[in-house]
Amino acid sequence: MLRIFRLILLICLFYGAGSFGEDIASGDTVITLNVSPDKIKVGTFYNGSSVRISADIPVCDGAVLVMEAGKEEIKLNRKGRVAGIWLNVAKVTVRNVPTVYLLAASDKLENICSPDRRRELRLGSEYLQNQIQFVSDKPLTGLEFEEFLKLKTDNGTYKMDIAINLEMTEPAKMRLSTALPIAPTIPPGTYHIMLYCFAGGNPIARGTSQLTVESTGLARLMVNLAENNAAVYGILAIVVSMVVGIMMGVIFNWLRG
Amino acid sequence: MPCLYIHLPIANASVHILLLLGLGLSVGFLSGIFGVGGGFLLTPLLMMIGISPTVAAASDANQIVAATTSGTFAHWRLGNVDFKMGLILVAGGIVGGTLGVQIVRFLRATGDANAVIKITYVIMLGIVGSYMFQDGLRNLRRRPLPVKGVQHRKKSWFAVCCDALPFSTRFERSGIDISIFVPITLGILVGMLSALLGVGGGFIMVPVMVYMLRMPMHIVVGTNLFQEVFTCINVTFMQSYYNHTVDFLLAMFLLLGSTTGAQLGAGISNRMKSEQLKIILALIVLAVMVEILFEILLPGSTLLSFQGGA
Repeated sequence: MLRIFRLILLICLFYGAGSFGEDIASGDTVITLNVSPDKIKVGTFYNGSSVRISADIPVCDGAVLVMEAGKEEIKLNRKGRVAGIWLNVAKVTVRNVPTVYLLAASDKLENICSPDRRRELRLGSEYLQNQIQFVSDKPLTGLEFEEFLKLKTDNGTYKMDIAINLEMTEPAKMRLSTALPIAPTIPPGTYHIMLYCFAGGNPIARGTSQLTVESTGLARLMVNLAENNAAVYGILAIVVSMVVGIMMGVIFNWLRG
Repeated sequence: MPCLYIHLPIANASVHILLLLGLGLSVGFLSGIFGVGGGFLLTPLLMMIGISPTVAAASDANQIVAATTSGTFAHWRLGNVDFKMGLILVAGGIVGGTLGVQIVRFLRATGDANAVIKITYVIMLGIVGSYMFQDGLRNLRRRPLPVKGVQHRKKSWFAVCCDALPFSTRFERSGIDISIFVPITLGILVGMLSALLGVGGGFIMVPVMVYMLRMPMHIVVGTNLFQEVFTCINVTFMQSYYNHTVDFLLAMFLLLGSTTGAQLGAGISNRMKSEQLKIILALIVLAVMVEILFEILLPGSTLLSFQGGA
C-alpha cells in the first residue's frame, strides 16, 4: 500500500514538474503586440511597406519575432552548365514552404536559445531546413536549401536579419520595437506574427498578432481580368494601345501645326 | 511626397514611374531617328530592371501596337504603305506569331523559355549591333562601299531560288515581281521571332524587305510599320490568352514614353549627324548584348529560379 502511495506521489511530482516545464516552454506571460499598420493595401502605387511592431515585455535575455504564412509547394528550375552556358538542367519541387518568413531578433539566434528550441518554436534556418522538403527528377546536390534561401531572400519574401531594439523602461519591464520590411513581392494574404522572449534559453513570454496584405483597386482588377477573362484582357490591352497610339500621333501633329 | 513607384501586378514588381517613362522615351527617341520599332532594345532593358523575360517580351509587344499604329497612320497619309505586300506579310506573321507563342508556352513548361529568349537576343543584338556599328563607322569615314549597278550584278542564290518559285505576283506600289511564297515565309519567320522576343520584328523585317525583297526604302518603312501592327496585335492577344504575361500597366507607361520619344526623335532627326547617332545606338545595342551574354555565361546569384519565368 505504501509502495502504491509512493508511486502515485512520484507520478504526481513528475507530472507537476513536466507541466511546469511545458508552461515555461509555451511562455506563461502573454504579451500584447502593437502592429502598425495591421492591414496593408497593395494598390497601383504600392512599393513595399514597413510594419512597426512594439510591445512591453518582461525583462529577458533576448527576444525573437517571426512573421510567417501558410505552406505552399513551389516548382523551381535548377541551373547547370551545358556547353559553357548556364541553362535549366533539373526541375525541383519544394514542399512545405512558408510563403513568407520574416524573422527579427535582438541578438544572434544561437545566443538566445538552442537549435532544438528554435526548431520547436519555428525559428530561423534550422526550423526551415527541418520543414522544407526538396524533390527532384535528378539527384539533389545538397546545395538546394542554401540556394533556396538566397532565392527567397533576393525575392524579398524571406528575411532573417531584422533587428529588434530592447530598452529598459521600468525595473522589471522592457520596451521592444522593430520594423518589418514588407517587400512589393509579398503576396496578398493573412500573416501570423509570433513573439518570444527568452531567459536562460527558455521562453518566458509570448505574444501573437496578425497582418493582412490585400490587393485593391486597379491592381486587383487587372490580375482578376488577366487570369479569369484572358481574352477580354487581351482585346482591351490591344484596343487601348491603338487608341493611345493614334491619340499621341494626333496630339503631336496638332502641336506641330 | 507622392509615390513615384508603380506596382505592376502581372510582373509582380514595383518600378519607378520615371524610369519606365525614361526607358520608353529613350528607346522611342532612337526609334524616331532610325525608323526601327525599338522593341529589340526595350525588352532586354526591362529584363535589366528586374522584369521577368516572358513578361517583358509580352508587354513590349503590347506597347509596340501603339507605336506602330501611330506610325502607320502617318505613313498611310504620305502614300508609303504597300498594303498588298503588307497583308501577305501579316498573314505569314500571324501564322509565325501563333507558332511562336506555342513555342514560348512549350519552353515555359520545360523551363527553358528564359534561356532561349536570352540566347536568341544575344545573337540578334550581336548581328544588328555589329552591322550598325560597321555601317556608321564606314559612313563617318566617308568610304562607302563601291555600289555596282543592280542590272549588271550577278544574281544571288536567294534571288535565283525566288525566281524559280511559282505564283509570281506584281506588287505595284513597291514596283517588284516576286513569288507570293517569299513574303509569306519571311512573315512566318519574323512572326516567330516577334513572339519569342516580344519585338515588332522591324530590325529584321526592314533589312529583309530592302535586301531580299528589293523594295524602295520609303515604302519599306511604311509597310513594315503596317505589318508590325498586326503581328504585335496577334502576339499580344496570344500572350494574354495563353501565358497571362501581358502587363498592361507596364505597357501603358512604356508607350507613353516611347510614342513621345518617337515623335521627338523624328522631329529632330534631320538636324543631327546620323552616322554618329548610329554608332552610339550600335554601342548601346552591343552593351545590352554583352550584359545578356554575361548573364548566360556567369552562374548568377542563385542556381535556382522560379518556373514560368518569374
